Amino acid sequence: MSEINPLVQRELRSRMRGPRAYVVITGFLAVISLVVLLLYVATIGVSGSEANAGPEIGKLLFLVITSVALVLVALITPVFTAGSIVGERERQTLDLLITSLLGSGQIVLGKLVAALAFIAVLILSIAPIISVSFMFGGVTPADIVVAFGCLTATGLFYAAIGLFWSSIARSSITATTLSLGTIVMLLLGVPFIGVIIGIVVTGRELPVWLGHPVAITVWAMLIDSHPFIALLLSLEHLANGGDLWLQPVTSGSPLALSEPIGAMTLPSPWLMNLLLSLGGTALLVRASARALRPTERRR
Amino acid sequence: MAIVATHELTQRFGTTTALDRLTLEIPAGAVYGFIGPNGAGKTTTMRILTTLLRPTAGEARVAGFEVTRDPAAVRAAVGFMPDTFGVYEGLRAWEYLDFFGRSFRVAAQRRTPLIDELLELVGLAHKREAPVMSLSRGMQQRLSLARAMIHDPQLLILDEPASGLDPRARIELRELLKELGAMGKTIMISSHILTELAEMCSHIAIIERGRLLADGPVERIMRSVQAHRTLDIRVMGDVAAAQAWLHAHPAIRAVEPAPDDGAGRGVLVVDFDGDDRAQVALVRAMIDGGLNVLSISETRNNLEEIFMRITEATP
Ligand SMILES: Nc1ncnc2c1ncn2[C@@H]1O[C@H](COP(=O)(O)OP(=O)(O)OP(=O)(O)O)[C@@H](O)[C@H]1O
Ligand SMILES: [Mg+2]
Repeated sequence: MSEINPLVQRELRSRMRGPRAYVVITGFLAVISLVVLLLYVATIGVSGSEANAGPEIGKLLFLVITSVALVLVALITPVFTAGSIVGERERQTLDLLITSLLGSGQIVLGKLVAALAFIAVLILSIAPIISVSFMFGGVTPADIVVAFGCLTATGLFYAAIGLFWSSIARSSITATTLSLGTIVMLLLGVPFIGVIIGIVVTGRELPVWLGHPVAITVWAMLIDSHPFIALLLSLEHLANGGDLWLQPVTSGSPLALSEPIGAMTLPSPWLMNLLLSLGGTALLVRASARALRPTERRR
Repeated sequence: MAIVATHELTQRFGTTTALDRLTLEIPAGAVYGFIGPNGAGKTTTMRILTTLLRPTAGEARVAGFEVTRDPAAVRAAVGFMPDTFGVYEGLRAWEYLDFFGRSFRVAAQRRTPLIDELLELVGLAHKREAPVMSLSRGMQQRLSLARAMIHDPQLLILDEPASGLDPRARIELRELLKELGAMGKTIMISSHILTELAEMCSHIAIIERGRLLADGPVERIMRSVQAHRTLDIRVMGDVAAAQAWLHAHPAIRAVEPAPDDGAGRGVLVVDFDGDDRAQVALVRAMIDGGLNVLSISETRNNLEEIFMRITEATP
């Protein structure tokens, strides 16, 4: 057990040999740097030399860098893992892995860890860029924790989504399409449901059960499952002097369209997001491992 | 002791029955030729024995372990070479073996010498540092064989290892397999190129449409079909009269001039139904009948013919 999972070792060995890893990291940083540069030029022109310009610019830069990084991670990650298992299938090496003494769990985890190692490099590579916004002031260490928390949660969970489709699909293209489709659905679906509920609820007397802690928790989980919403809510919560770890939640409060009918304290949105991602990842990894066991009657 | 034993193994894919109550045994130390035409169920059987496929019904045991109940123990006992070679880009030959060595939990200090031994055995020592992708088909095939042996399994299951190889590579592979057989490994090898298996197998099983048509030690299979034999009879003088005489003999099914007998050497190919004793009687009758017999030779039925005959006989 002292030896590293052989899949991780092999993936890193062959991946780092090819140019793909460097191209992706370079492209990723190039996009973020370009956005920062454009934004910097634009804000310099507008705000001139006002006294409080520094912190404002810092905050804005920070928000933009984090958001762009989040978008990129959300799109790159699943593409990276979507090819992992189905790629073995296509190269006809999956049977060799299954008939080895690696269990299906080890195969899936090996693929996930190898992808995460790369995603971690990707996420950490923005640290120098974020530190630029830090220099302007206005950005606190708590903000940084929130940003990296959301990035990590997204990288992990979306990698697991790609992995899951990869274990089921019969071709890389199908797996990639399904992964990106799932992620688009998640990113658009949550705001869509929120808006629909908001419209339905507006101006009505809310039923009492919506004030029940379970209902509030479910509502918060739905809202916080969205990485961008979780990021923005957490940063806003911090800006208003709130706690890094905990948040007060009232039913319906995220949309604030009606009178709250119940309140409770829950983990902060970014932490909720991270916990949900961990849970979702665990479920998806189990499902992927199950898909590799030869109970299936198809080839 | 049987290292592989299946009982009424059945595999259905939708409405197709790929395996139909297949019961077979492979004795330890055997080189077991598994022969059948396309779609006979060879690959299906092998996939069940390597825990890749769960049978619809029936049982299969490998090294004493039931394949669906104890897959890990079965995997440790079996080295599998599928009918396709999976390539990993960016890996060298030794890294490829090293990867699978790790996957089979071969200890680190054992792995390095083992990889060199295996590369030596399959004749790829000089390709140790070569990228797997750059190897020729025959070399990849041999690397794949080395991979199947990385955990020193008791049983090797090789699915058409000779397909796609040129004649020279085939001969090399055959020599290699003979060597492995001599080392005491049990080998199950599938093919539809039967003549190749004839001389290296100790046992033969013939399968068609998911059913076992015949199995057993290679000599027994040969003998059971040998009652029917082909004779080359060379006569001097009136060949046509000899042909007519032979044609009238009750134990002779067919007589034809040898296809390559353009030179008029008087060779007749005779399809004869009978054993050694009957053959002696035939020779005496020919002499008594006044035929000028120059020579009689028995063409050994090769597996290809046996196979054609057995599979023909079942509608
Ligand atoms: N995954 C599958 N789904 C549906 N049918 C299958 C599947 N695998 C095999 N079959 C069918 O099962 C039968 C046996 O196939 P199998 O691959 O075992 O034959 P084979 O003896 O290996 O043939 P070949 O010599 O062509 O390799 C065939 O009719 C095939 O179409
Ligand atoms: Mg086959």
